[in-house]
Parts: sequence; structure tokens; C-alpha cells
Amino acid sequence: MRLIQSLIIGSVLFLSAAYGQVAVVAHKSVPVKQLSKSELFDIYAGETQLWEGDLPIQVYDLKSQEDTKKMFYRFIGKSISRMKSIWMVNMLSGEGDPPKTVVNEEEMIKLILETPGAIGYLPKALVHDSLNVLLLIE
Amino acid sequence: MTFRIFFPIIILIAFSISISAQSNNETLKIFGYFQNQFEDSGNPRTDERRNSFLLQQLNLFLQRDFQLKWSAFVNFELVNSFSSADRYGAFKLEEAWIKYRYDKRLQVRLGLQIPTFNHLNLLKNRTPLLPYVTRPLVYEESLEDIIVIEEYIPSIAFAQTYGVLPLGSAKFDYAVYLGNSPNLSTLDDRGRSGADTTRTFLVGSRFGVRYQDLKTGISLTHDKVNRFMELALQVGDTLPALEEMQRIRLGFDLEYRLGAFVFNGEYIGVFYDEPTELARFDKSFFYGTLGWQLTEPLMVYGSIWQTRTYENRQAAPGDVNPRPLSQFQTTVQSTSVGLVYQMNDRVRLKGQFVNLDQSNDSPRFTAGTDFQIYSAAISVTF
Repeated sequence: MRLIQSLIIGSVLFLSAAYGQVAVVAHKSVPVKQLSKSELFDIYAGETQLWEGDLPIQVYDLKSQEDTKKMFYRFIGKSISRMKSIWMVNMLSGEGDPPKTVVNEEEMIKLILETPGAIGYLPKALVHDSLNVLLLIE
Repeated sequence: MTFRIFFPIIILIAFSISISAQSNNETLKIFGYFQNQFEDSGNPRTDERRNSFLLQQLNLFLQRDFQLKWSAFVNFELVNSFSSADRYGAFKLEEAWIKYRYDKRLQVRLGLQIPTFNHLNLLKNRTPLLPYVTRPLVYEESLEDIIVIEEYIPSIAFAQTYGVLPLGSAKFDYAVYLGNSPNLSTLDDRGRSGADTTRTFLVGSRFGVRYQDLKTGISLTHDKVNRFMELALQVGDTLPALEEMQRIRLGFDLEYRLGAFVFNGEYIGVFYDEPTELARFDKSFFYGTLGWQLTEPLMVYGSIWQTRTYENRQAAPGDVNPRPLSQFQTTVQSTSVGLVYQMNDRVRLKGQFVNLDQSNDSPRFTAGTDFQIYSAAISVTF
């Protein structure tokens, strides 16, 4: 059963990567329906730390350097190493923590569903109704 | 009756949930970094060399966020293989502040802190963020016994407000702060309190713009200095002549990224309002570093920095009436090349070659003060 599940997810990831579609998703509690590129950068760079209504933003990032992650950061306009550098500056200056790293897309979905204020990104094919889709990256 | 029993229990459960949630979000974070180095240095003309291992710097941070918009931060710093038993190195409380963050447009820090000045002042102690083993001179904390860093940059502030404002597709950064004048009590017989001995403050600011891969800003501080009163006696002036001398530090910084290349540069000018022509204290500093990100983890760079200072010397040593003083301009220049290799998110390996060259327009100055440093370091964040 687990093998079939992994095969399905693997196929979906492969097709998503091939068609290059990434969705920026958030917990249903997030009081925002869409985000611009600059707003998304501000959230991932730690400049924006609260949603409207003072709901804390919890940012998630994929650990693997696969196509989804590369496409996400290409859209933001910064390399992964540049983002890591920004997070390190924030952390060592007391300005904020880096995003929490998740091992794979399954964990990303699980944590976003569980965590009010959470935001992350996924292959579009894995998005379902329980998630709040803020942006589609083609 | 049931209500009487269950209401306190419900309150207790609700309270414990609240405490539990609070402790999850508001845990005390302990982290930091250190940089160990090996250095081989000497004068190439005399062939006198020395080599040494050194724990260049260790910083330990404590941070706690609370009530969404508040956070407290403490930074302990140990430099030069600190050992109180052997009486070398230094240990100091570098920062201890509380911050209120309304949002990104308005943040206020109160307490001992490093003020914003140019690009590098806030980062100078964060060795994992810098490619250098030996930093540009005025930012090299481990050489604080050789150069008075505060002559060039403000070291401490106690109240600072800062933030980022949108400016079309660009961003406007601002920071305004207040601190002590540099005339602090360091008299042993008065307990070296570190208290300000004047009625003046350090007032400073940085205003900057970020647009795509360009980041630039200007910085300004104003304070008053008593440090040269000793010189007033030498030149036969009355003490008040060099008392509370006005000082302005002006800074300009620029960072630009183009593909795999990044340029960082800064200028600092220090201007005194000298009440006498017999002495001059102005000084200047600049640095420029061009980095090339060869691969994701590997960057190589070339860097140059220069300081210019005036030395005010007696015409003849021991002269009881030494007017006028002789003024000599001293230039210290460094060129260096280096590399930094990021092994993983926590560990960086660094290598650097530095050539230092000092020159002086004094007729008694003799050439030959070149100095070369080969160094390697490991920088670890924990």
C-alpha cells in the first residue's frame, strides 16, 4: 500500500516538475486570498512576520533541492544560497528564524494543514481543497 | 455544585493550555558561532615570520520571543582565545536589548546594541556571514587593542528605531539611534563604570535604498569627544580648547549583485571641528570587495581597504615648548584575496592572503613596513 502511495506521489511530482507548476499554499486560517511576488519574497525573507490580524506566519521550506524548490526560488528572484544567506543574517541579528525545513511534500502538506498561519509551496498537482492557494507559479 | 467543581478545572486546563502554547512559541533559544584560525604572518623584507592558532571569536546568543511583537536578545562575545587565567583575549557583553516590532515599517530596540552604520557595522562580528578571516581594519574586533575602532564607527547605542518602507518597487531602509558619547569612565579608581561623563549623546542614523540587486545607503553620526585633552597640555593650550570637540562620522555603502558577482564597498570619513590649527584628527577609510560565486558553495574574492590618519607629533621629543606640532599623514593599505567554501549550512572554510603596506609622509619615515598574512579559518554556527 505504502509503495503504491509513494509511486503515485512520485508520478505526480515528476509530472508537476515536467509541466513546471508550483502552488504557494497556506493554512485555511490565513486571512489572505492571494500574494504578489514581492509580498511572497518579504515573507520568505523574514521581513513580514505576521498576517493581518496579528496571526504569526510560519514559513516552511523543502529540504530537497528538487525542481519544485528551484522553480519557487527562481520565481522569487533569489538563488537558494542567497536566501540561506538572508536567513543567516536574520538569525544572527536576532531578527527572526529561518523557515522550518520539511523533508518532502507529504510532510509539507501535513504541517500546513496542522499549523495556523503556515505557508509553503508544493507541486500544483498535490494541492487539494483543504489548502488555501495564494499563488500559482507557472 | 457541578459547576463549582468543573469551572476551576476548566479554567486550570485553559490556563495550562495557554502556558503550554506560550512555552512552545516562547522558548529560550541558545545559539551562536565561533571562528578558529591559523595565521602565518611576517615582513617579507626581513624574513621574520610567526605562526599561530587562535580562537579568533566566539559569540553566544540568547533569544526569547514573547507576546508576538516582543523579543529579547543577548550577545556575549569572546575574542582572541579568551582566558582569564592567562590574561589574554577579551570577554564582553556585546548586546542586550529588547525589541518591539509593530511591523516591518516600525521597530524599536532598547538596551545595549550595535547601531546601524553603513553595511558592515551590524555584521562585523558575525563571522559566518563574512568571507574574510581578517576583516577590513576598522571592523576587525580582534585588533581592538591596536586600533580604536570607535574612532571610525559607532560601537554602542542604547535606543534605536528602524524599519523598511515601500518606495514603489524599491525599499527604503531607515535607522535612527541614540547612545553615549565616547567619553566613558574607565578610571580604575572609580570602578571603570563605563558611564558617560558628559552631557552629550551620540546621535546617528542610516538611510538606504534597496532596489532589485542594488543596496546603498548613507550614514551619519554626531558626538563630542574629550579624548584629546592630553594633547592640549602638550601644545600649551588651555584644557577647554580640546574639550568636547565635535565629531561627525559620515558613511556611504554600496552593494551590487550581477549574476555570480557581488560588489561591496564603503567609505567612512571622520571629521573633527578642531578649535586649534596645531592639531588635526580627521581620518578616512574605504574598502571594496569583489566576490565571484564560482559554484553554489564556493566563492573567491579580492578586496582592498585603506585608512588615512593624521599623527600629531612634538617637533622634538622632550621639548618643553613643543609648538608647533608636526602633522604627518599615515596611510595603511591592504590588498587581499581569499576564498570561502560552505561545507554545509553550519560550517564554512576560509582562506585569505593579506598584504599590508604602511606609508607616512614624515621625513623620518623609512619604507619597509610591509606585512603579509596567510590565514585559514573554520567558521561554525551552532
